[in-house]
Amino acid sequence: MKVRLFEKSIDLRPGELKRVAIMSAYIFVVVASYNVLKPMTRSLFVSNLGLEQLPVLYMVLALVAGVFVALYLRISRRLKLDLLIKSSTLFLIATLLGQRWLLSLQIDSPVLYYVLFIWASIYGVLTTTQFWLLTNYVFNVREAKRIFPILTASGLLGGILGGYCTRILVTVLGGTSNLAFFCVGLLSVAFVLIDQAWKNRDISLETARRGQASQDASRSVGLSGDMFASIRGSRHVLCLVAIVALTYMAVQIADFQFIAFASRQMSDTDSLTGFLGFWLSNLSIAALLFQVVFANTILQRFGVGMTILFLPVALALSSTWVFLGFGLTSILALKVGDGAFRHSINKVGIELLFLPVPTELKRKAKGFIDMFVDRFARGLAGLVLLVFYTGLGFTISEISLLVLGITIVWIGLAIVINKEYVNSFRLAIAKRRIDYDEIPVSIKDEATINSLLLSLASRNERQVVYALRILTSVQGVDLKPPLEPLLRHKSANVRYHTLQAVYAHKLKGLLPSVQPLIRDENTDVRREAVSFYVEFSEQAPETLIRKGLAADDRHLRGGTLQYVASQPHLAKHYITPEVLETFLQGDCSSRTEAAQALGHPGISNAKAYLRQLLQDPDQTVRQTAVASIGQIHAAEFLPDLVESLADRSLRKAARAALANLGEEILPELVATLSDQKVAPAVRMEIPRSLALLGTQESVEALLEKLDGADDTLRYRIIKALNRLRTNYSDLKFDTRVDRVLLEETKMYYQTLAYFHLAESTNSQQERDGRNLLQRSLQERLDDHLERIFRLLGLRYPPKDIYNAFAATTSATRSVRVNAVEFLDNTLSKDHKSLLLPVVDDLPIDQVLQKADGLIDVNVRTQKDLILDLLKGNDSWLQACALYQTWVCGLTEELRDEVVAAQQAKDAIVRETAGLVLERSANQADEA
Amino acid sequence: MYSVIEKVIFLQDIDVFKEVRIEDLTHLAVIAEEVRFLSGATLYETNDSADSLFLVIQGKIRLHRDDQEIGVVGNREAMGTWALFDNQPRVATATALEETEVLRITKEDFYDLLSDHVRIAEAVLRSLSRRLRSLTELVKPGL
Repeated sequence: MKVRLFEKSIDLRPGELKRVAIMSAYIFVVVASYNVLKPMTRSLFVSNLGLEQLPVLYMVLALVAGVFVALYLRISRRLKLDLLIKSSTLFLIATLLGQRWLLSLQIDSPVLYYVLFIWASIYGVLTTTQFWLLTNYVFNVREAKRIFPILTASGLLGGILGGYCTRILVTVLGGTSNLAFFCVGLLSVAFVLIDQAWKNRDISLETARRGQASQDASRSVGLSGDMFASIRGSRHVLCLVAIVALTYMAVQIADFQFIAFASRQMSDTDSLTGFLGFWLSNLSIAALLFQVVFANTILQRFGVGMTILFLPVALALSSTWVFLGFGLTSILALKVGDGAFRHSINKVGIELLFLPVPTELKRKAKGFIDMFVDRFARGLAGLVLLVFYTGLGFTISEISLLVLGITIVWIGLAIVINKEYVNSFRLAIAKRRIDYDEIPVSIKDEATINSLLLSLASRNERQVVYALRILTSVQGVDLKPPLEPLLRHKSANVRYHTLQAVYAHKLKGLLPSVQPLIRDENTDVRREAVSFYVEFSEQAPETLIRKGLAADDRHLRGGTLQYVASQPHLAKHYITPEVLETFLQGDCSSRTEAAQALGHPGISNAKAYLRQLLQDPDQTVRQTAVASIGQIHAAEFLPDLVESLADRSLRKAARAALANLGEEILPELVATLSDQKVAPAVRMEIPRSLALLGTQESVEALLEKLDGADDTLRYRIIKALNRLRTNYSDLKFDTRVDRVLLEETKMYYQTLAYFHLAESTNSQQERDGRNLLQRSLQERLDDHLERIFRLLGLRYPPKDIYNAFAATTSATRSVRVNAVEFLDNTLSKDHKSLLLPVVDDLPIDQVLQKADGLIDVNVRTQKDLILDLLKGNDSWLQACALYQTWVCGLTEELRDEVVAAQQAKDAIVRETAGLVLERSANQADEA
Repeated sequence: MYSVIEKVIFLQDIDVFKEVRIEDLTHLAVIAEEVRFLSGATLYETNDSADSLFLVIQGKIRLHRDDQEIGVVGNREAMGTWALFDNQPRVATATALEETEVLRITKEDFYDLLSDHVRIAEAVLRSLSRRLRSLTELVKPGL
């Protein structure tokens, strides 16, 4: 009971407490250790090398950190996340001990201090990045929005502790270098916490995360021309990127001033370490206090426009103060301004300004900022300091003028960007361009909220749902009046999302309006309504649940069952065999409710019930049972799921369930794909199921199975590879694709040669037969061309190749010419020589000349053509060729082949051979 | 008795099957039943339920309402195409003018086939949308 009260007080749902505790402790120790290392390495650097080296260090750091991040990303794609984080943590512990050892040797080399400083910066980036990566595996999107503020606060508390500890421990442990031992202790605790977090992660998120992680990775990899072009094309984004760059520059220069001031006050390393640690903690406290006390009020009262001006104005004012009166108070004002505003309202303001930007462009811009702007701006700050401080001899107070200049430009840009924001946001809502799952902050800005509230009155159901989903994360607004009428909305989807918003905002006052919805026709609405009712009603939850499960009204019973099933701690107690039997004995909607409930963990004997439901006569019940099997990762159902692929009504659910089982099932799927005894309807579905796994192993397996696959399976495999390429852009498609591409192109040319022969040498007298063969060959050419472009899509950007394919097959000549031009500029030399003749508007003769050497040139006559087709393994073309023997009067010359075809496996081939022989005999008789 | 390949040759001319891949027409050929009508025989009457498409292979069929002739359907021409897509009764009577051979595809067999062969369903939909577009184009100038 006490635990529940505690959970409620910090807005946690049942089952979240353990995960939140682990992750909070993890970020706490990680940030604490970094806040010990940060002052430690800074003081070591400045005490031993002097302030003059700092600008150079900033530039070196920008370069080295860039290389490190690229390397880390490359390694991270090859390792599983838990292995990556654990091994990185062990590596960091080893480097901490190594650092302590190096310092004990008392080597007086500048390189050592450079290395230590850079290493500490990388330590900070690495530990926090890994923490957020792991967080994405531990919490789902909806949990994340509620829980992230708790984690951020834990991080800030860790920062405060780390800084204060530094001051105390530097004396207790006997010097700055011994602080490394303290950090080793903290990281060892972190290692245990990582292990616990991984064990308690939400496994069901993994499949979805794989795709996301892959997109994240691709977002961070490389700076492409496409990225620059997209950013240049949007004034709004360009302004945002410029603001972020100016922020990093100003902050870096202000940090330099702070260190300079501190190094002048403290003569020895240990005192300087203590001083930096102490003030780092004080600044963290200022940031925390500001975030808790003022941030919400500022955002609600002033809106985005004013919010993003707080940081530059504060920096401008404090810089002026530093210039006019350089001292502890003024320099602290500069740092407090930075500490208080940058990670709170300024961060939120920038995120809000990113909201109206289309998702794809936003990803590119953020990737650009992470990969380039951050480091470039800090490096540039180093260069500016090198010129003005080291070169021109500016004093520390005069350097404030540089910060002032930067902030003035920054303020100008902030004013420009704010003018466009509200209109852009309204437009983005109307076009549903904002991805609500990607909104990283709580929206508090009044103008933004008003736009969303207006959308709630829209006649367009999708727009209402869209606004509701965004409003779920809004804070500080009374949503009761606008949400109340939506609980009676005619659309179940709107009612469902309204209930979610009502729940998120804990609008207890709406309980009377929610009550009727516990008998709603829609399952999801009922579940949400029961969930809200049990949570906020005055009656004891136990009583409500028992009453609900025993109710005569089947809707109320179903809603209660779904709610209880979704809460593992309740499911264990309330979903007894007796309760389940009442549903299993009921009509098909009751059985569907049971099947759906069994998709949640914590129900005893669930697998036996699911096996029973798989045999249910009702299709919906079977579909739901298949989906539930996937949700509870019941791998023992693999053969049943594979078999379900043949059933059109179960196929979609079976594919999703197989994907949920994860990559462990890959060997079984590959074996099924190779097994000729398995029904073709099942085998044809395996490639798509493999594609849903989204791993490099699935790519390898599919590439391997391309060899020897018939045309239909080959097409399915290539299509599956295309899905993998599009959805998981970090997967590798190596030169094996080129080999397949070469084969496919050869087949295209060969078919084109057949087509040309059928067209050019045929007599006009038998139009039907000629049309049949030509049309069939034309269709084969179309198939080859599609497969060629699909294969190209594995080696080049898929979207570009798709557009080129669509243009290539256009009826408009100018569009085709543009496509050829595009391919000419895009394809590699080898691909160009192979493929350009295929798409170029050339007479067939000339195309075939260019294909010389790739195809069999011995096919020159109608007889050669027919013989070749009869020898091939395409049974439809064989039938067409047989018919052609009669059409062209070649039956006697090819009599042996036609007779042999009567024994073919394919029924149409056998029938056509018989027909041709019979017709020829009749003709002979008539003659 | 026609072979599958011969039926394919006939079926490829039907407008609503123009977008169907020629190889897929073999499935339609399998469900296309050969029926022979003697001269003067009635294929269907006005207000009968429309449940089949007919393709004349050889012969002539007169379409009429009572004595009023609407048209004559000859070799390689189809009639009752729309019967496959709606439940409206026949709007005319069809009578064989001479001994006539037709291929008949019943609605029931057709939908059974479509449920198993999505590619054929897609192609038929493409044909229908193409026809709809061309009708829209015809209407436009008068708007």
